[in-house]
Amino acid sequence: MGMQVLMSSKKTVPYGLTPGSVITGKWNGSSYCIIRLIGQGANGSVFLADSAGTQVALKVCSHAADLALEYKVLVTLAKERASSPGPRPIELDDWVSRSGTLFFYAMEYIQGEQMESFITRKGQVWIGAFLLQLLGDLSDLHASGHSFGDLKAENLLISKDRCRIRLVDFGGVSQFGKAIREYTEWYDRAFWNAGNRRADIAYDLFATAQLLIKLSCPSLSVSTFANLDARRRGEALFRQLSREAVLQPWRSVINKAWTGGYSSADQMRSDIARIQQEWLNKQRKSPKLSPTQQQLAMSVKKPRRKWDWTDWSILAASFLAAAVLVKLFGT
Amino acid sequence: MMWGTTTIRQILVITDGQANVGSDPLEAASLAAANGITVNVVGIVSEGASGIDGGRQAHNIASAGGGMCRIVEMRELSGTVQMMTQKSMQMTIHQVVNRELKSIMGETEDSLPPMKRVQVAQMVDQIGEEATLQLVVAVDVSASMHSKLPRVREALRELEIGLEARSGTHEVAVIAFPGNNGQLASTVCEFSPSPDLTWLMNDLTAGGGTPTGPAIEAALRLHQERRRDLQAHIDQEEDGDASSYVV
Repeated sequence: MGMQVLMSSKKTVPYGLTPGSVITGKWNGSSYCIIRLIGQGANGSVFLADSAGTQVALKVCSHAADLALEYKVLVTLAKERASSPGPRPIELDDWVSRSGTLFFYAMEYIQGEQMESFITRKGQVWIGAFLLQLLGDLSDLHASGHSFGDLKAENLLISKDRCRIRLVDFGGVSQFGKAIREYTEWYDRAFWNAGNRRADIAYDLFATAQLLIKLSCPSLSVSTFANLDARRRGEALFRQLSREAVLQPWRSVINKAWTGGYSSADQMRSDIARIQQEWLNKQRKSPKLSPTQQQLAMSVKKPRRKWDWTDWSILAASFLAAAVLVKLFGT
Repeated sequence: MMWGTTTIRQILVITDGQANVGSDPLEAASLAAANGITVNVVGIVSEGASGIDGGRQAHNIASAGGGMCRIVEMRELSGTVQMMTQKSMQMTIHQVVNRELKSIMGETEDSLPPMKRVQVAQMVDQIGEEATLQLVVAVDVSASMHSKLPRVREALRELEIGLEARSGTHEVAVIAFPGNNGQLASTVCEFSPSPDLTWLMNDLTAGGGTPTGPAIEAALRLHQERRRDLQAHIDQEEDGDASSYVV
């Protein structure tokens, strides 16, 4: 988006922060030693830094308000959920540099690989599994009344330690009913004339469908469609997609997300789980399965979720029913 | 103060060249700023070029008009127009909030402790979401811009989508410069929540120069007329003025 253009002039060393530079917070007094630049987002730069022997991520920005709001979102999510879908926030502070005051916050450093490169390396068979995880996280986020907003492959990491998807860059998180704060054309419902740009559940699910398309057909590019009239874009995209055999199993999910047919992330999640299961059943019958794929097939076969209260209540109810039956007919 | 009815007024200039006809655009921009109207400028550079001649001038106009300036390539236009309008609104609100903070506490937002600042930022965000936006877009339609007009139209449509998503109301008017019939600038679209942009596809007779200054003046006039109209409307409704806080 536009802001990246702004940054390009400073691409070499944002804010003059080179490896070894030390940032000391004006209010809390913590020091961070810059290790390297991790990435540049729409609103500032993220660095890997050392804080008293611990590796943390630092987001540095010249605009205080945006950074403050973003930090607040991370804090809210961390408070509401035991396992936040985002990085754990550490602190928000100012840094008085030689060229003026800059603003930063420290957060948990998520070590991982970009989702796109992971899929390229390991194969598209992983897409479904990660989408299931992602939709679980989105469901948590939605429960707090927010859309993620700027959902895109670049904002998704596969963590090294647990091979789990993690959302990064919460700059686009927007309260339901308000305008989406940051977005990227390919993933933006309004760009494709498939709805407005107001935060709701369906906005993120549309982006998830676009993510599925993007990961399955990496050669598709937004620039092919940008020159078309917005009303023709969807049509043109679907014409191209009809030729893509890899998307065949996913068509119903994509259509439903495009037309706003899902009212929750969990609905989309269960559709994807079903398709994934059918696909794996088919694969399991075929003898030509790579060890990884077999592993994956097995892992999906196992129940993937933890027991929640519904399961426990069903269990409790059946015990109760059994007890009643025993009482009634036992003697 | 009543933030619910905060009105933000902006002028957005979209151009690819140096002003060379009529009054000084810098003077026009500072006049607008003095009237509480922010002037933002998007300069379009052709792909691969190092920069437009008007780059420095574009920055100067924006700084005289208290706004922002971005020099972008054609393909970045949509995102930029949208982002700039929103950022600029936030900036205006921040300025007002800072004035208030300064007068109440002798401090600005940036000198507050970070967690206090979070609260101010949330308030500003809320005001921005709910404020009324009145925007005049002044589009350069001189010869070199003709091939770019479809993208300008697309960018304005994009902007409308962004504004539509807010809870606050908005009105956009469009001025073309040079204008029709030998005028330096003419209004091609009156204030409307959903301006009719078909004119941008029509053949516009290309005037010789780039009268950026007169275009900003015309945009300023349009704003003032609109403000008078709305004021008259409020006065008719007896006590309506007490709830209107104009930035």
